[in-house]
Amino acid sequence: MKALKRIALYAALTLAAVTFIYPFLWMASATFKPPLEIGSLALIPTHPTLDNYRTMWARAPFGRALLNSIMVATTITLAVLVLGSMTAYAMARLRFRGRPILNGATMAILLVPGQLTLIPLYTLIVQLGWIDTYAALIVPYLFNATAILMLRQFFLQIPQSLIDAARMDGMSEPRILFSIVWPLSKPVLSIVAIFTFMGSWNEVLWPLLVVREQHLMTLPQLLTVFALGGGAGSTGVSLASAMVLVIPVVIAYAFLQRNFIESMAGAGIKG
Amino acid sequence: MRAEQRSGWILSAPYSAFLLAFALYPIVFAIVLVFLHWDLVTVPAFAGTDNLRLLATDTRFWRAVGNTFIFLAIHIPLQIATALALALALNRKLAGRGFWRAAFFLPVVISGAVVAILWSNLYANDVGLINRLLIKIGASPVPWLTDPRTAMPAIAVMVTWKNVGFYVIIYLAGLQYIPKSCQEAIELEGASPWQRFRYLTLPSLLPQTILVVTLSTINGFQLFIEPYVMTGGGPLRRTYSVVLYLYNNAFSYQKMGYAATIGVALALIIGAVVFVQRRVLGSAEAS
Amino acid sequence: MAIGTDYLEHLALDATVNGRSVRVVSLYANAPDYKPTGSPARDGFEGTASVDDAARAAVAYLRYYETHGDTAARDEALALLAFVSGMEQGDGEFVNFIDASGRPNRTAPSSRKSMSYWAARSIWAMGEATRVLGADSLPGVASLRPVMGRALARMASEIGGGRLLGGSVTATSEALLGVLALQRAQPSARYSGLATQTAELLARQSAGSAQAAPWSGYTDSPTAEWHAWGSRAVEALALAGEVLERPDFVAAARKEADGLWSRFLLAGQVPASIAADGSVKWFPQIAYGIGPIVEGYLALADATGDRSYAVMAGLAASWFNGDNVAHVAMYDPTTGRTFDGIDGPSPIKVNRNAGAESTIEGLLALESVAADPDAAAYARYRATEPPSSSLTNLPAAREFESPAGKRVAIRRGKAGLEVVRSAGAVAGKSGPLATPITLTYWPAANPIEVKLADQLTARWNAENPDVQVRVQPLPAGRSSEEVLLAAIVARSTPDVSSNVSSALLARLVRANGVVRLDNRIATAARLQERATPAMLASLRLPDGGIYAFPWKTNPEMLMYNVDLFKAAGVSPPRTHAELLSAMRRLTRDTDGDGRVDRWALWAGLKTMWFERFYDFYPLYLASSGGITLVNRGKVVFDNAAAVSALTLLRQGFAEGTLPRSNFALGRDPFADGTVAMKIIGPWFVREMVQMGVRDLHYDVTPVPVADNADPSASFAFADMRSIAVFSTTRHPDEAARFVAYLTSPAADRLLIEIASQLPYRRALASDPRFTKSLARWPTLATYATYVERARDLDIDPDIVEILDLLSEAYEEAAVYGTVPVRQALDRAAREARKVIDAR
Repeated sequence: MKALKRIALYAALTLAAVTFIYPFLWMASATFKPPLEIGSLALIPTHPTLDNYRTMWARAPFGRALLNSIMVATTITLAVLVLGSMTAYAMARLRFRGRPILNGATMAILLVPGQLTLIPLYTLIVQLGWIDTYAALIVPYLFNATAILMLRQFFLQIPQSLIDAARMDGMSEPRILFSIVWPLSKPVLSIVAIFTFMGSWNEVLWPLLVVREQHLMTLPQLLTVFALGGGAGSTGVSLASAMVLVIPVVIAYAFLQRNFIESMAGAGIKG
Repeated sequence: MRAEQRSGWILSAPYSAFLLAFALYPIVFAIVLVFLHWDLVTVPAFAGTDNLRLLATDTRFWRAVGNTFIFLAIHIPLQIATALALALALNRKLAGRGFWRAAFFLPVVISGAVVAILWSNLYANDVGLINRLLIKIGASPVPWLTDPRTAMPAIAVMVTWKNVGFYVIIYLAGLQYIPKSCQEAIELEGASPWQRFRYLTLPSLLPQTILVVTLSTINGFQLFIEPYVMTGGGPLRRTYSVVLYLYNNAFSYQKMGYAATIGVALALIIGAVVFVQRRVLGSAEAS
Repeated sequence: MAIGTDYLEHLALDATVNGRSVRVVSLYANAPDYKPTGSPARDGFEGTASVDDAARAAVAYLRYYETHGDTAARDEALALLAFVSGMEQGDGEFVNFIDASGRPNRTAPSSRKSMSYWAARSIWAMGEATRVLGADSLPGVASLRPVMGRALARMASEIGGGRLLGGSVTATSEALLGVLALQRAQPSARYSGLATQTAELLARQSAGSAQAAPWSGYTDSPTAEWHAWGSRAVEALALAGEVLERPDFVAAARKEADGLWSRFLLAGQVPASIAADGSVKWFPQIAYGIGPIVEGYLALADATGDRSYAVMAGLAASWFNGDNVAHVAMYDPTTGRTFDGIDGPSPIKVNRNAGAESTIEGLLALESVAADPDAAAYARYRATEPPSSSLTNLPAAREFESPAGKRVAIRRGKAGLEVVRSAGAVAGKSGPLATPITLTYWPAANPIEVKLADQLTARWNAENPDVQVRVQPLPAGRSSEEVLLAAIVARSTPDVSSNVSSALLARLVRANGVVRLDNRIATAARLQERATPAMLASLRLPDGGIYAFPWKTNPEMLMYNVDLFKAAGVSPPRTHAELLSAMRRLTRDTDGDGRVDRWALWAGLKTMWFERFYDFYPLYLASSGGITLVNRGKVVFDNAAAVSALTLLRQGFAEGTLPRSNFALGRDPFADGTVAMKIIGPWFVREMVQMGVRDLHYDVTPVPVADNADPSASFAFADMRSIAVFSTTRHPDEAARFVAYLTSPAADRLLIEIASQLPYRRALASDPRFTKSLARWPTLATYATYVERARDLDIDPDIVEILDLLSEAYEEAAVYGTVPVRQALDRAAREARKVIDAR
């Protein structure tokens, strides 16, 4: 009876896992299928081909988009870590006039949905002349209130004695932050890094608004524009272009899945 | 003290500037825009309450709001049920627990654009995986995304599929916190598994459930890339989302004032809905 | 420069010939009062008017009508042709002169009945009339046919006997131009045979060599002198090469242009004649000498695609604007007069009389120049050095300067004369070039248009070292409409973009974002060359200006699968009733599983505004008699045509002949035979090749019309794409030149050949310059017939939202049938009015 239950449990789990994984496998295999085979359920193509990838690569600058995505996501992640830590450190460990206002403002903007500011932010970017620049993709994301609050929360737990000792040694505050506090904050830093990077990597609405030049497009944007604009021309090609976006994530996920899960769940809960 | 004051200011100065430019200014400007007609290219014109009056009677806007509630009505229960079921399954002694968890979480890390493109192929009438399966088992194919009755449910199922792994993690975390003693106590009382679930597990997970409801609601109101890629808002506007309508007003019709009005209204609606949900569920929690 | 026929009309007189009242042109008009007079005593009182002049005046009027659509010019031409044909003597020969009472002069050598100059010019005029006006459209043209038949037969007997008409290359060339015009209008073996024979005969008349006088010029015989007047052999041979697809004729045409005329350009003046021994007679220099050179160069530019010939045409035409030895403008734009000639290198040596011949030749040449962007620009240049009075001892180069101080030089190169930019110093010892201007050009981002843009730009960049163009594709996809608007606000617009739709143009103009193009030399010339006034009328904004160059139009037609049609036993439908019955017969369950798997037509299910370009809107336009959606801020689409279109679609969906389902992203159900019809434009022809569709046998037919509508009055929907120059540019003139280049015949051929898309060009389907390009793709020649019978979206700032509203009506009334057609349409119209009122 118990064994039977067990088997049923595993069967159910397997079915669930298949539901989550099979579509990706199907997608991966579809990209190697010629148009006529796309409809088949089989995962192994009978006539495997690289045509879909070739066509995709020839029709739109996916290599460039990949670089753009890496560049934008990396810059934002570094900024959120460095600038966010500075801010969080000041908010957690330094007493200065205006700190309560800053704390309050940070809490408050978490409550403001993005849709409210989407249009004004877009018009701001337009007025700054930042349409079709990396600045438009990066600058509005340089700070992240969620990240600041998470970092602040963590920094608050660092013993005051450590910081006092460093100050006695004559260390400047930035040095204390980066050489004393940071090494102790690896868990939270990695969480922040992953969710920031993933958030930026997958973002599509904002780039759709502010970038129109193909060679500045990030991967998800180019993918959307490519698949919808009819640039793909066939299912296989549009799926192949989706694969370019998926593969790096899946590889990173395979190695770091624990961190991924913690960080994205953490960010979601905090946010 | 002086030094601390100065360091504090220096370290927080960039953030303060950022807040002013990219948070405060847009919020203020959003309110200003509500009272403007502006196509971005010509000089803005004062609109008085035009935008607000238009919004009040705009059937297309309210339709989109209504669609979101329909979406939520399908999505939230489905989300809770599947997330809870999977979390309960994972909350046992299992071989390869990490693998299962990772499998369920996989769609969460994938871009919404990819998921939308993938699923519009899965849902396709002709070569779509789902209809192929249906045909294989002798059923009739269903025009998932083009039948007004099935389009929104289809999107709701897809969004559930994409996010459920995330909520599984939340529930799993909640399950860890149910004290062992309570579990033992209820077992000693001879409760059936269903009773245990109904009277211990479910109430203990209420905080997580509130979180799931709140986050799903906020997500639901932000629905954009899915209808944008998969249906364009059709059929019969059944999948038209508020953000899609906002996007179209801003970028297809060049009505920045009205788009901003929609944004402000959406923010207020989200606030109100979340507030009500918290009130209702919060009172349940208190009791 | 204004070019008008006023003065030519001033020279016209009414006359009666053989009892018919006709118009003639008086031969002379002397300064200062320019009263029309007949031939003076020194010419033996030939008469008051001649066929020679009337025929050429008719040609000038016909060309003027062709460009400007001025019906008064057409009527004048027909009245002149009545005179011309009346002078035919029943055997194909003509008499030239009449006297004041309309009596033909049968005795004077310059008038007597013959197959000579005046007969040749009559053939030319009648041929042009047939080409410009059509063979049967007007009684005036139809009545020419018997005369023309006899004249051609008579001409053929001369040519067949190896004789030049009147022993003259001039007359023979002019007659050849007439036969070529006929061949272009109504291709036939008779015309092409005669034209080929004539051109072959003519091509043998080149005298001298590249080194020896008269330097390959065409002369009546090896010992005869070369004369500038009537040197039309180049034009006739170049056109023959193009129409008859005989590259050797083009080569023959180049002989005189490259060998002889390049000497004129280097010398800075055109002599009156050159004897066989090489001695040169410099004066008089007359319009009839310059005009044919200008038109010859232009014909060569067309035939070879080498724009340096057009530049040379402009430089040659600068004679009319005062770049001549007398430094007097020979054409007076205020009156339309062309002075009779220059008798010496001084202003007082100008013969300020203005007779018919000079006026006609001036008009002919300047009209052609005005329609060529390069020629029009360079006709305003002046040589910087005085002319040389020898054709053997020539400078290595000659430099010209524009009124704005820009310089260009021509010099001898390896392959004849070449045009080089110069920055002050005469090329050869060329000084440092100024830093080149850079223009940014945004084509649409689809791979094929990028390819086209890259190819065209590469060629431009090679030819224009001073103006370099950088190509930057616009993003494709849904957002492409908004891209340029956002760029305008950000002041980051390119100099030129070729993806401007009508939906966008209204907003661009409202934002002062684009430069007016119909008043810039290069684009004005190109507009004149490319489109009829009627084609431009709907593109003019309220101020009369054209702000985006109408580049390509893609009229949609009903494409159908020929095999599926045959199998179902249906023929191409013309009306809704026929379409419906065809749809029922085409819809099938081919594998017998109880589910329909082949449908008649695929009408999209999505409601994005542009999806209606492929179902509702073309069906609507086919029956609406040209009425569009919005007219000057008034909603006009709630009419019977819209009801019939929606009703048809509703029936299709209800009966299941239109699939109510979506297909996988990116798949085309027409290409794989899942649907039998598709309403689509010519670009799809190429797309199918790219998709690897090989065995599909298809054809196109006009979109069917409502049962009570007239199929012959139907319009196609065409999504016009225009090229705009943005007001942020710092080089509007260079940008306009680049636009004119992108829309040149050579570029248009490339557009057709690479992209299977159609330039917005008059008479595209019958223009021999494009026949080969159109033939490169199946069905494209059929598509081309609809270029001038198409309607676009209205230029209205809210057109996108209005189409979205119509899309909703389409969805409710047609796809799902939840609301009656009339009701859905009324609601859409009501909401559309609300949208318009709100602005």
